[in-house]
Amino acid sequence: MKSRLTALGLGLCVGGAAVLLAACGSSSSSTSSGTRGGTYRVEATDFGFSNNFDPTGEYTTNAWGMYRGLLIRTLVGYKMTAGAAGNQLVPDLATSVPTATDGGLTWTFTLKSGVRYAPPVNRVITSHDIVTAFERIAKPALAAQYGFYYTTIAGMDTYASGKAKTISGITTPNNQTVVFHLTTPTPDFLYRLSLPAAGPIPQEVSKCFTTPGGYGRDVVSSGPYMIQGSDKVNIASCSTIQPMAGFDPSSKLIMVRNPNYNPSTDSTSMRTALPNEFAFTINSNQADIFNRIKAGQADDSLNAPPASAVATLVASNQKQLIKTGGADATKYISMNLTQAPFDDIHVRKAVNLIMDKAGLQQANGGPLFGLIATHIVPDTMYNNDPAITGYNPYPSANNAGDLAAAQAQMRQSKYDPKQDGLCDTSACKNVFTIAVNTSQDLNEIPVVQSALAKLGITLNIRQLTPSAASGVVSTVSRNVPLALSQGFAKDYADPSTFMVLFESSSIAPTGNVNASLVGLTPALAQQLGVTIPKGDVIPSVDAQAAACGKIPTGNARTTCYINLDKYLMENVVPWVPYLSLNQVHMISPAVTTWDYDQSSDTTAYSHVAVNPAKQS
Amino acid sequence: MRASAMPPAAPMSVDIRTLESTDPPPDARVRSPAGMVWARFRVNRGGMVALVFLVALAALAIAAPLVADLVGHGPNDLYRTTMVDIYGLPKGPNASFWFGADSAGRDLFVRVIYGARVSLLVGVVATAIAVVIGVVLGLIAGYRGGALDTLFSRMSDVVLAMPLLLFAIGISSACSTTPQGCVAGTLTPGVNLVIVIIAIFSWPAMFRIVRATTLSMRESTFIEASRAIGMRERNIMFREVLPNLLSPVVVYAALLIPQSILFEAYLSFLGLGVPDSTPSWGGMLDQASQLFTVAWWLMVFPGIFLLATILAFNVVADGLRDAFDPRASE
Repeated sequence: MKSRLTALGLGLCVGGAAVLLAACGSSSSSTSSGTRGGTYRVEATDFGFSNNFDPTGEYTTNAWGMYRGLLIRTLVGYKMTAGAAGNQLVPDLATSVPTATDGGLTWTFTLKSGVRYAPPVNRVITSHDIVTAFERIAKPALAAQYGFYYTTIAGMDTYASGKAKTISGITTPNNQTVVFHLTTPTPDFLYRLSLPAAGPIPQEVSKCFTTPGGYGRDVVSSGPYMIQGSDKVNIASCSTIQPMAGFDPSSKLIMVRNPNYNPSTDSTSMRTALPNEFAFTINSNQADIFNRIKAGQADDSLNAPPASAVATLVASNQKQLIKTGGADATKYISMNLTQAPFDDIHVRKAVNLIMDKAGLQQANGGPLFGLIATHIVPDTMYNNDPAITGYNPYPSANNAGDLAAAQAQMRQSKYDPKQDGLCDTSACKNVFTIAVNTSQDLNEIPVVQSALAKLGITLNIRQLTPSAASGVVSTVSRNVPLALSQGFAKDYADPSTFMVLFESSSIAPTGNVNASLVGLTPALAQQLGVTIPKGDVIPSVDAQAAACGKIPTGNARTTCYINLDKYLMENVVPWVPYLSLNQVHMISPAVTTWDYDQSSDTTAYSHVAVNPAKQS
Repeated sequence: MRASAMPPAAPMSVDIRTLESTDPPPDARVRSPAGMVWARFRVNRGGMVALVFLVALAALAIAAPLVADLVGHGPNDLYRTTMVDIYGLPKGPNASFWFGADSAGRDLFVRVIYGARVSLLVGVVATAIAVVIGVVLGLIAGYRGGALDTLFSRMSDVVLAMPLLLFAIGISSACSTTPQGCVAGTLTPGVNLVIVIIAIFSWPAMFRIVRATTLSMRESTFIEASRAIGMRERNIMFREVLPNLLSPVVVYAALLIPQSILFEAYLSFLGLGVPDSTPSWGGMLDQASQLFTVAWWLMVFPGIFLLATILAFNVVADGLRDAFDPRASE
């Protein structure tokens, strides 16, 4: 499991409180006056692709937003709109959303007829193209970055090891039918099929690309747009295939209409496809990007605008140019259950109680950039179930921290022998802490230091780049007691994608995503070179997580995960969650229709429109 | 004789008190070398102004806690409800916050004063280390020559060839990933690490100056005379040669201090310097770079202090050079 939020750098993820939305712009489509035509111009300081835009391995929010809205249709997809509705699965290439048979082990899909690839392939998409996509996912050489989601398909392992020539768990009775056979019931399997790597790939082109990211410059579209120059690529043989002219990873990604796209095979609720062209270009000057958007010289950005730019727009009565959407992402402080003083649950609870979450929200740009989080999984992932909305096990006035309650917890701790509500022992002095050195994250440091000082906890903070911080925190042997500015965003709208962060099976020597080491056993600790403090037993939620994971998607599953979320917050307390992040966009006055793609946490490119007359 | 070289005309009138004074005229006094340097320096108006500024700044830095008490705001006290708006943007100068606040709601005036501590500490200590290393190695290399000269000279070449910023980034990052820091726990991120990094890169220039001066001095007659009367080599190096190096060493050290201060500012600007809880001008300017369009004070006040301090050190260095070698300014 990988946090796409971390991969992006937390600076990109920002959001908006409901209370501010009225004052600072809307969260979804701005107008309904969208007309066909024009170019939607998006600028960014960097594309930041993780696999050179090759869908088999690409694991970034920005790429997923482009794939889903413009280039790649999957068996099931999303309406690409804001809020809970944008997280609901709908059929895309498939004729319907199926239900599992054979005790949850078999999933059968029928493909719509008449859906064709863009040039240079041009032919009808068949079930074999789905198989090709999974063969690429299984090949270790292609480095599918979220291939772990598909290990429940029978035969993936043997195909990956070269012991089989086909994936036994994927069959194609005919050109329009594909059947998946699983080794274990996987209720969220449909969500996994909605990820871009599972979209159709034409074997006649992809066979020519055998290294990670190689196919990225020749992605053959199944959606309403294609990379500019697709029609000029000669696929007569591998040697004749050249990169599509519209994509240069260092400067541009231009998409034009796919002449083979048939709107009747699609739904306007998923894709209205109004602009004639999308132009994603690199502009290394972030300030210039937002000046250009204000001036109508660009329309949108992959970068979040700085709080200063947002404040300036609001002050000049241009709040309609600010758009937000909930990112289904949580920002949190991670506490390591094996490291003093956080091996004591009373200290962890005290830290939750004392934390000035309002201060941390302010440090991140204020309510527009994120709602205060009081538990682990964002409410939208639970479809705003009333059983969890408003749940706050560690309340305080104005979310500024409750000193009395925190000190009461601290008095129950073994680290407060004086019973004065302060952490008295040396374990609380100069606690090794990893922080991230982006501007918003740096702003958080004094807030955290000030809050913890009230409990007698002082920090020895190391400020690292996002990637360096991630590397240190995810290396178990580093024994990092406290990690600030951590973030995790969903891969798909099922709470299991968050809960995997607390399963013992997620603990790994490096690349570890269970930074709190929840569920660490003495045997595993010995393997990893971690010392569990004498007398401590690290709590585990493996059983609860496994039980929830077996429940089919629906209310019962949601309720199970809500209970697990509450259990974690009250009986394990691995985190201080403090922000449900939003994505903030600044758009140009030329944008006539804009929506937020909840499934990808990006602009809903399939639903935007521009007025060329207002562009300059 | 050119007019400009003519002696000044005699005054038309003479103060009787001068004639009655029993003190010898200033130029006739017997002075120590330091006294002569000081006498020449103090007539340099710019140098004296700069020196007074630096002394005042040092006093302010030492008294920073008193200043904080006086103002009523500690350097890390947060006033986010009163000095930060809903977007997390800081508010500007007012009667209580003379320099405004930073984005965490901390008093910028107090932090600027505390920032002087870091700048002066880093500038002086890093320079002192560089001077000691450069002088000792340069003296030995220049006087002894041979293999030691080759070894020390190549060492300085290696250091000068290193990409300074990349090396600094590497050391800072490597020492930040464990609680112990690096080099067996002797280096941890913060002021000490910054000082070490700066000293590592600053000594070669001092080494070269000292080595070159010593080389030329080694063959001079007074050294020959010292040898002739049987002085030991070590005594010649440290009692005869070293005092004669004072002038270039002091002048270059005075120039090295502002360079060190600037380097610390660069490192802090890049997030590689001292931690956020220790106020530093470079760190403040780093924050300002994100917000200066809406919070000018973040850039202006630390910037002015940094600029003035660098300028003052450079002016003092210039004055010292003139004082040590008055012919150079003629």
